[in-house]
Amino acid sequence: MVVRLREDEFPPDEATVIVHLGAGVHDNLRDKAIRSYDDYRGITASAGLFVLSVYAALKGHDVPEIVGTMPWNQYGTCSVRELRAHFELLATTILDDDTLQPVDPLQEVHYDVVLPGPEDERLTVEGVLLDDDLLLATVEAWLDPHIDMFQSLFEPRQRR
Amino acid sequence: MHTLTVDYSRYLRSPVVEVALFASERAGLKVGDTVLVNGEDGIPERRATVLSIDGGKVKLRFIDPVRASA
Repeated sequence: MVVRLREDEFPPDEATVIVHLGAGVHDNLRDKAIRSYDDYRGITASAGLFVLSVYAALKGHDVPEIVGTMPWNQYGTCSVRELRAHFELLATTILDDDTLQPVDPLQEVHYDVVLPGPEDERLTVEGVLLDDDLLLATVEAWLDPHIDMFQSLFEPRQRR
Repeated sequence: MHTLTVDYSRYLRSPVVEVALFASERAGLKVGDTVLVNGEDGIPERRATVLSIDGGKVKLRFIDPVRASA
């Protein structure tokens, strides 16, 4: 997987952002953010990033199309304005590393929400986070309130 | 058979994905194994073959198509 930053793209404040809010949503979101960390080394100046994947209803893609494309039963929406009041938003395209092509046309409206990360020297070493239970516990505790905030912005859950 | 979790929100319908796994998820996993992959709601629903294991990253090729949840 290769992440490409669409550096000069800024979605409008009124655009709707969509995220999956399935069963066990808090822990799922936290695990996704942790799994993303090493993939986002070098994307910005930081060592890595804790990010959550969202889509914006833009460029001719609307909410029903985005939700219909995903294997989601439940989802949530909020505006770019609400999201940006709390988190940084990066325009990112996920590329297939075998072909360097986007894995789906919807990638043109894919964004990553950046959660604040803890300052911890151990995080500078690639691959450590997923193998170090103590570090993992520290990071999970750090991320929990940010996940709560993120989740609250997208509630209530909607069924498709 | 191992059961793994994949972030479909990130990979969409890609037939081959490289996923970061926690150490507990990788324990005992070998190249060539067939694994079950959870859907977004945590229910195992697709089989995949392990193509490679590189540190914490595991590359999978899906055997079954993605299933729409609705």
